[in-house]
Amino acid sequence: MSLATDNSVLLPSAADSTYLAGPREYFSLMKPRVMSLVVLTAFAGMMIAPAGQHPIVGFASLTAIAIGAGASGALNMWWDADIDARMARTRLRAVPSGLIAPREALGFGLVLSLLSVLTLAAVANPLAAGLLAFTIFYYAVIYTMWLKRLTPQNIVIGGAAGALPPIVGCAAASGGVSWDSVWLFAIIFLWTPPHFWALALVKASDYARVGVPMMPNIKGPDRTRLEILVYTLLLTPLGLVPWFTGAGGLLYGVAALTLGLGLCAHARRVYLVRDGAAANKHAMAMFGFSILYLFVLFGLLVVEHGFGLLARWGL
Amino acid sequence: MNLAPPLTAAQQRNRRLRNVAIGLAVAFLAMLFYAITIVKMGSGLLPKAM
Repeated sequence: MSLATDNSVLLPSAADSTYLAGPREYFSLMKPRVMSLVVLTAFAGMMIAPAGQHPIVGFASLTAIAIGAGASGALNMWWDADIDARMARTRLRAVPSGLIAPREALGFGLVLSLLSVLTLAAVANPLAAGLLAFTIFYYAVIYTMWLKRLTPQNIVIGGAAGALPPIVGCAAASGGVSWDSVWLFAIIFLWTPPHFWALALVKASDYARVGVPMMPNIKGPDRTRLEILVYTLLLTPLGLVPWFTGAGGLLYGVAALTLGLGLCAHARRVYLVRDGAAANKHAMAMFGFSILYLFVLFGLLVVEHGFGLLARWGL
Repeated sequence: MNLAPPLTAAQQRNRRLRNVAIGLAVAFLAMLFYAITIVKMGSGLLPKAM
């Protein structure tokens, strides 16, 4: 196996990758953790939709959306392999580590994109399929290829791609886009910048080394901390909107309020503690808590509407 | 004439696993589309819409 040197990192060459990767490495190309969040938020969008689907059609739609999310991840890893190889957090990914050749990742992503969009068109409707195609295009082309290396607002604008799954889910279930799904879009849209900037504060040197203009590198960590706080203060009341509109029940409302206040407390600590190991510790705590926030809120929407369905079925 | 170097044991194993994974994925999709076809035909054998 040949080795390519990159600073202190030794990586195998992509030329050696023939048949080296197994299913696990291909699955990792799909960014399974991001995919799980997409599945949950799309599921919530389906559950709050004004009209319903047969459970099997719903499962197939969700599968198509998950595959579409995986396709976006694979295309992202194909395009970003050059910078992934030079960042500590990403250098062991399948493409930069040489387990999968870039052209294989590209082919994998394109095939999955086509499969997911056509499947959603067949099992749900053209609107949902079109929205899924737009989401994949937005993430892979608008965010990954264009915005990510261009502007410190990359996460803000690009975050729309990650926020679209509830709208796609709602369209798949009902054939239309409801206001409730738009509110869920807005929640994820406002959640993304403070979530990602908390990580970027800690990994700022990584991003600076590869020339990705993240907020802490361009505007500085202090401005980033302020923006994290402002976005979190906007997000917390917005998180309560589904409760007011009736899309979320009492459980959702209580969770949105308590977790929202918890997120504000984390953002406040990130804003106040700016130096030393404690600053990084608070930023990573904010990053972890923000994941919990989104998982719990959208999970509760699914649970509350799920119990409603069970009651409707007389179970 | 095939000039490609022979595959190592690890490469052969991974190729086999990839073939199994593709086979399982195709079987899953075939079953899913079969089930959806039945549902869309409105057989009435399955639970009603959500």
